[in-house]
Amino acid sequence: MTEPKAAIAALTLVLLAPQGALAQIASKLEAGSITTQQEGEVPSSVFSVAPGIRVDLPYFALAAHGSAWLTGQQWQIADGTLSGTLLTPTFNHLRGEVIGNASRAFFDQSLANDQLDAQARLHVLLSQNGGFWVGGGVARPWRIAVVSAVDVTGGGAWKRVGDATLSGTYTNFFFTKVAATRDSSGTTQSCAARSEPLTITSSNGASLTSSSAAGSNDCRRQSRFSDLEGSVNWAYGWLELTGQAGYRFGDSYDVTPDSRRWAAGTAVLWITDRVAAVMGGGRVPTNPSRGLPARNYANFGLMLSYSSIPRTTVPVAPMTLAAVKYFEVRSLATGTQKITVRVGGVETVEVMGDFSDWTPLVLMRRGRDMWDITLPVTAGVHEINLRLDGGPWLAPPGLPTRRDSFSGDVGLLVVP
Amino acid sequence: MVVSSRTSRFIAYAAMVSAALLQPLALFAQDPDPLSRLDPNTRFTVEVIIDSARVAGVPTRPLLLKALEGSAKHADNRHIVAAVRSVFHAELDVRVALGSALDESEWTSAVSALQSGVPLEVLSKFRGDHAGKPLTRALVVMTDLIQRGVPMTEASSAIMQLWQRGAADGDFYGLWKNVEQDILSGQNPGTALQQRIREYPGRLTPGSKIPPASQEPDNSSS
Repeated sequence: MTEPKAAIAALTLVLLAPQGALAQIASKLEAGSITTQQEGEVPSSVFSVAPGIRVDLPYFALAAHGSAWLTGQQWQIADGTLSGTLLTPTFNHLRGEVIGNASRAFFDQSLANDQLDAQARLHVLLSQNGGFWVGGGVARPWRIAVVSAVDVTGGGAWKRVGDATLSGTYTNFFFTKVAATRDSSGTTQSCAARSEPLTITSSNGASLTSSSAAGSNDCRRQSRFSDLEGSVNWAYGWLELTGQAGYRFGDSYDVTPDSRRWAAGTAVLWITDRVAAVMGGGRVPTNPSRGLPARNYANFGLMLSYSSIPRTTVPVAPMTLAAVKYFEVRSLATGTQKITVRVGGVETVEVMGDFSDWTPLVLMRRGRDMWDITLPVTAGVHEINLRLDGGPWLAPPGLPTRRDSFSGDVGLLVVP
Repeated sequence: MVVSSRTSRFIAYAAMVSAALLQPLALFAQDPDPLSRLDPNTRFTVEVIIDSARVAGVPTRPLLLKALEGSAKHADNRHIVAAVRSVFHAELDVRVALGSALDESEWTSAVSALQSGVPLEVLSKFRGDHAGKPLTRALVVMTDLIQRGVPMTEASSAIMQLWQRGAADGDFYGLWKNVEQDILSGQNPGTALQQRIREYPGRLTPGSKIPPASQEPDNSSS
């Protein structure tokens, strides 16, 4: 077995057997096609297999993903990324986040790139349903010969509206580019005015001058552009839909026509509480900090999610009502009531009340963090409790409450 | 009739899916002897209280449910009996305050209000013709506000005036939702109610003396 095939097989085995791990795990295996319009730099159309895995702890997340491409009859590892995220607890509506990534692109020697990048963000939570963040960082490409370190600054805001989450981001990129004398539209540019001697370190460590590295027609240029991107995520039951669109501001020298605007969409269809089908497609713009060209893509894959969390070994804080993002009781046409709870990071959600003769009922997981159950509940006032991961019985949020005579509270559900 | 293997597989799958869909409803088959969850001594005492309630003509199901709730929450036997007895006594008080012509929800909400500290004389002001008025919602909201720290006199005054002057179910819910949000944001509970009640102009004067129900103007036509 060739090395790429062995690596793919090993990764697949790891992804298919996430049970028994010590934290919450989501793994993904996607396959699809990628096409680019820039002949000669990367294959114009390839079949891609992209595995990924993410491990979440309360204040730390680690993710790894990569892709392998089938070009002709040969598999080749295309790229790989390792990411870590550190989150602080929320204090006075503020939360800090530090993100670090290490990535390597293998697919084309001319674009071979190692990169480290780091970002820090400050999140301001205006409520459970909205907030914004500001942040900045730097990306440092090591082997790429066309850009220097990239400074990234930006901000974003999000707002939850019903079952949908709307978000918008604005990101500035600033870097030094070793530019050709033709701009992205093919117009000849003069770089004499801004040209200056440039030393580039190649992948084998040798120092090259600009003329020998990229040709005598190259020059050094301060580049900047800004991305405005909006996205909508809608999750309901077993279906999650995400759509995003963006526009890149900048002059034609920094922004290629194929990266001026883009859009993409993804659908996640939960088949069981742990297995989802993922499908999507669209267009992504160039990523100058990683030397990646704009590309169209379409993919289909499976996501395996959420191994059990052994509470005795993972220092997870006890779940409280603050973890419940959403609690709703909706009357169905059949005369039954559908109770929906949105809460992440738990393994079981139960309700009980007078309608069940105080027998606990386990909710079904629907998707990433949605749980529901449909019950025959008569009109009138009912007492109800909610329990997360076998913890204490709590009064659900969003309902009037009363003391329960047993040192706790119950929610008072009025069914019209 | 010849049934192909594909058709029979489809029928089998459909049967399995139907069974899975119907499963939740099957959970609600009534337990023929729910009190079997209690230990014999506790069960005996609870059954005596339930018999007393039956003789007194007040609802018995809330007593049974309170016992089952205590059992589900692993309360000790002494607390279960005390809780059931407390509900029974509250039901007797509710009957004195509001009469017996109450539906199950009104019984439940009135018992909750009394157990949250609403005095009998305040509850009795809800007595009378309350047809078309959301008594259940009014009592549920009043109970919650008191539990969240709104002074009892302010909560009962505001809710009762709102009720007497014909507030709709949505008015009570809206008031409660707004006050709850203000309290969660850190506002003093009493202040939160006083500020929010002003959003009902012409209906209420916060903290004003509650007039006797018989002297209230009939606003049902306005």
